[in-house]
Amino acid sequence: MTGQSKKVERGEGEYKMAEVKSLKQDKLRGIFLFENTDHTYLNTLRRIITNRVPVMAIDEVKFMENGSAMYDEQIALRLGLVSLTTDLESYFVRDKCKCKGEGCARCTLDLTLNKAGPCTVYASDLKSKDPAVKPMFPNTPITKLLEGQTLKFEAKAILGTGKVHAKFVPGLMFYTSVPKFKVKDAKEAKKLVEESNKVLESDGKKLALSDYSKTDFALSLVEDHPDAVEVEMSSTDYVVTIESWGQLSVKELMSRAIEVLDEELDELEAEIKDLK
Amino acid sequence: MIQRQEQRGRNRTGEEKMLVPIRCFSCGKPIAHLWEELHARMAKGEDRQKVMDSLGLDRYCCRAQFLGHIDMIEDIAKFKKN
Repeated sequence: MTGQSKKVERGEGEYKMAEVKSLKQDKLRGIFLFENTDHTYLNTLRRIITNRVPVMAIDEVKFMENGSAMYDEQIALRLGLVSLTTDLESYFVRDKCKCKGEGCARCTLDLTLNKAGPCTVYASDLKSKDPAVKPMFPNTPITKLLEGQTLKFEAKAILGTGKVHAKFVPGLMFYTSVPKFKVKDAKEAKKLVEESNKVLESDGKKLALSDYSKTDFALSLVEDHPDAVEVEMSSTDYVVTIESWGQLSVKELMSRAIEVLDEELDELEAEIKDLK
Repeated sequence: MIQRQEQRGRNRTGEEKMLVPIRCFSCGKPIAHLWEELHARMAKGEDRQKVMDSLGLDRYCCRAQFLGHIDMIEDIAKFKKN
């Protein structure tokens, strides 16, 4: 994306292309700086990430034997919440699959587990038919078995969206707008910088954040020194944190969310064209 | 691993839990796989706060899951009717 601005023929003012910069990226978390955008767009993206991006989760469990202290329902719930690495290229959402919701190899994955106590049953004990779809966190304890207790079941995993059940939620997104500081009192501002533990930086005249992920901390400090600086929260620049729960990578999560938004807008466009 | 006696002493709410929740109730982050590592490292003498920080439990919702939890499943399993 470019930062070039271009005139929009209709409508008011100038329209700038949004710019995205990566500030920090871990395996499951990304912090980004979005510039020239607004909170309505970011909130749309946030809602789509939590509600609309499909991911794999166990949906049906058929118990053959359950000798553990937990009820079948309890174990089924825990299994559902285990996050499975999802390959969105090779599976379809059931409603959109050719089998029309009956369940076939294109939309359903079978997993089995067979364990006898004494042991702790971990997510890594789940045997998946597809090596691409497996528990993201193999050390997740599912239940414990004592001597003589056995657990045996067959499970079916499907693609679903967070709208249907919390187990299908692929991640979390949150954002804060970038604060801009105006120095009111140089002495007080200097004190503020000293107290901030290098979160706030000053080059004599201007104050700026050195680490955008610590915006909250900086703002709480500023509250303690009301005479030092004036704070203005930007309405165009935002620091966005996207966390993945392991099913998809952060990048994939973002691009999928935008795809879903595109699809929904296309649907809306088609509906409007049909209107008379 | 975890001292049972100490666990019981901390259970003041009378609430009984089976096994650590798979995900944080509030934000949905998968946390169950961190439970055993947390206690293994605490048993070695590491500080609870520092271990939680290094495990990536940034938000207080996820930390609260671990602070308030007691594994009761082994005790309950003894009374299982077969």
